[in-house]
Amino acid sequence: MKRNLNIHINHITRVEGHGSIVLNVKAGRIEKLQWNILEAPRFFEAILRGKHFNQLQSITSRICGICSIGHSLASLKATEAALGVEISEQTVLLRRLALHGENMQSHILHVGYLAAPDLFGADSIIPLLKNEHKAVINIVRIHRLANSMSDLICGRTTHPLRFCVGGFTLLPTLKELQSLREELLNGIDTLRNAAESIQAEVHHLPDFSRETEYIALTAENLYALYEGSVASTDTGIHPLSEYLSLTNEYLLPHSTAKFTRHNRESYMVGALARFNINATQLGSLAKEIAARFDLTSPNYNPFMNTIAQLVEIADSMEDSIAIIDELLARGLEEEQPEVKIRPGRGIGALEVPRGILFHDYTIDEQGNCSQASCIIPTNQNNANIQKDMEALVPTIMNRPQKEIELTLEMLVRAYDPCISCSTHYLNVEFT
Amino acid sequence: MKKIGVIGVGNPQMGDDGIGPVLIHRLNAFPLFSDTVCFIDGGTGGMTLVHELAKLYTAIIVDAGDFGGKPGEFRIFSPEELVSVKQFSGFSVHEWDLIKTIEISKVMEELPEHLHIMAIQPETIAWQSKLSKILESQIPVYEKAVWKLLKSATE
Repeated sequence: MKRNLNIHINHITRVEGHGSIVLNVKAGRIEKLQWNILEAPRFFEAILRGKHFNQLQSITSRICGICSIGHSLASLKATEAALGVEISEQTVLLRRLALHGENMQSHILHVGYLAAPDLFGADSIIPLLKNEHKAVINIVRIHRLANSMSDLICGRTTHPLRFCVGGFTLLPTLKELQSLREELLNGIDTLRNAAESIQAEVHHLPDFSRETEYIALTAENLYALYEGSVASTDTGIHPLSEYLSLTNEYLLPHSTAKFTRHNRESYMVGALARFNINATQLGSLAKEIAARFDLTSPNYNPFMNTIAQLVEIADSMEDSIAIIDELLARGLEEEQPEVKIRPGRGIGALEVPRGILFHDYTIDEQGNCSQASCIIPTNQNNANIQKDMEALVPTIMNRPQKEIELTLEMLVRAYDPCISCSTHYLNVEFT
Repeated sequence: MKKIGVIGVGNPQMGDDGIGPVLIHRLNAFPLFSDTVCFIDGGTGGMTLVHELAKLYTAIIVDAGDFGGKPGEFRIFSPEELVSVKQFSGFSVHEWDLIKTIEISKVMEELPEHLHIMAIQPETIAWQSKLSKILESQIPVYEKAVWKLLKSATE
């Protein structure tokens, strides 16, 4: 019998922000399938105009309560590029450490609190306290470790206080770094145990595959997060200066958020994109976790983005230990960064938990920002979520309605969208 | 070393919901009589509260709570009482934060040795950045109650 579906889910839970999906199926034919983003724009780019360069990173940090460190760092990179400020190797190491802290914080929040309940067949992490309390304990412990790392390097867990143009206003002590190193070492077994719990339930992830274009930073000698060139699985490596022709933002009548496209109708950014492009550069612990889940590059199942995040937590832990070792060996020096005002334009790009983030500023003769543009990962994933849904729905159309709803929600959750960050929203409506 | 902490929970942009953080900022203005005491603005907390509770030996959580009292009235509950009250009323506007936080802290074996929940009956929970007049007028009473709990905790 040809299927009719008329389902409306107003709020998808366990994502950051709000959004909707509309699906109309009549006599087995999809009449409407739409990822709707309704959240009001927040005008951060307009807020930045006229602001002094010293204020930009603290303002843009407020774009997001999850990836505030990433926004601050992208902002600093764009500002420093515009002003021609050189930063020290020590600053690069500490910023990489801060970014690892955020990556761990955000990824464990998504893997543990938002996505894992789907695997365990629960509505939230709370019912897991009864039967899966060991998994919950391990997840909370990793979250705490990530928080204390961000707290130490940034001055607090969210919205960094210690960043400034050219460097840091306050450095951690060597003793504090040593203590963090111990915590990270102890955390490795906690992560292995959490991975074991998730592995036992990973078969609940839908077996779905759709090849798309993947875009992420790439670098020669490390798994790129803080720096690198832009790589596309379709078109190869591009300099950062080409970012506008890689992202091509556009508007749709039904969305308050922008969409992007490059070589195809859509592309994907985030942990799976990074894994597909840079997997060979992962450390041994990350490779061990990936092998546990049979995750190999390339992988075209967007649901595996959650597992790629788990792999990245391992890499962040391992690389953080290596960075701390380097800082301990070289010692920490108080620096007085030299910052001179000069007019110019600068682009800052880095990998934040949900994918590649671009900030692009123009600074005038007075040191004020005269133009600003921010291209956020979730915006870049919107078109890919839509195309995934279009490929997925025909394969699940004959399943019970509740299962269709759950599968679509899981797909959205797999992208770990930060809708507030991109001023976007999700809402599923089948009519 | 674990500390004695007062955690104010709530959103000051939602009228009386913000009584917890408002009280914390008032208490922070007083000189501390012991360096083992800390005041924490728990905001709308969620999982953050789990991490905060782990650092405390004694915790006093101040929150707007509907326990069926008159606006401005307050009561002090133990965690066990809180769960039983929750079964017959909506209790906290931060139901998830508080009760679930306590559940997670228990599973983590990190629940403070002594935990008091000071629930203040709200009058207005709505978009406004000030308390209702009745709660505003009762702040000295709430402060006194918190100091009394702190005094007995530090003795």
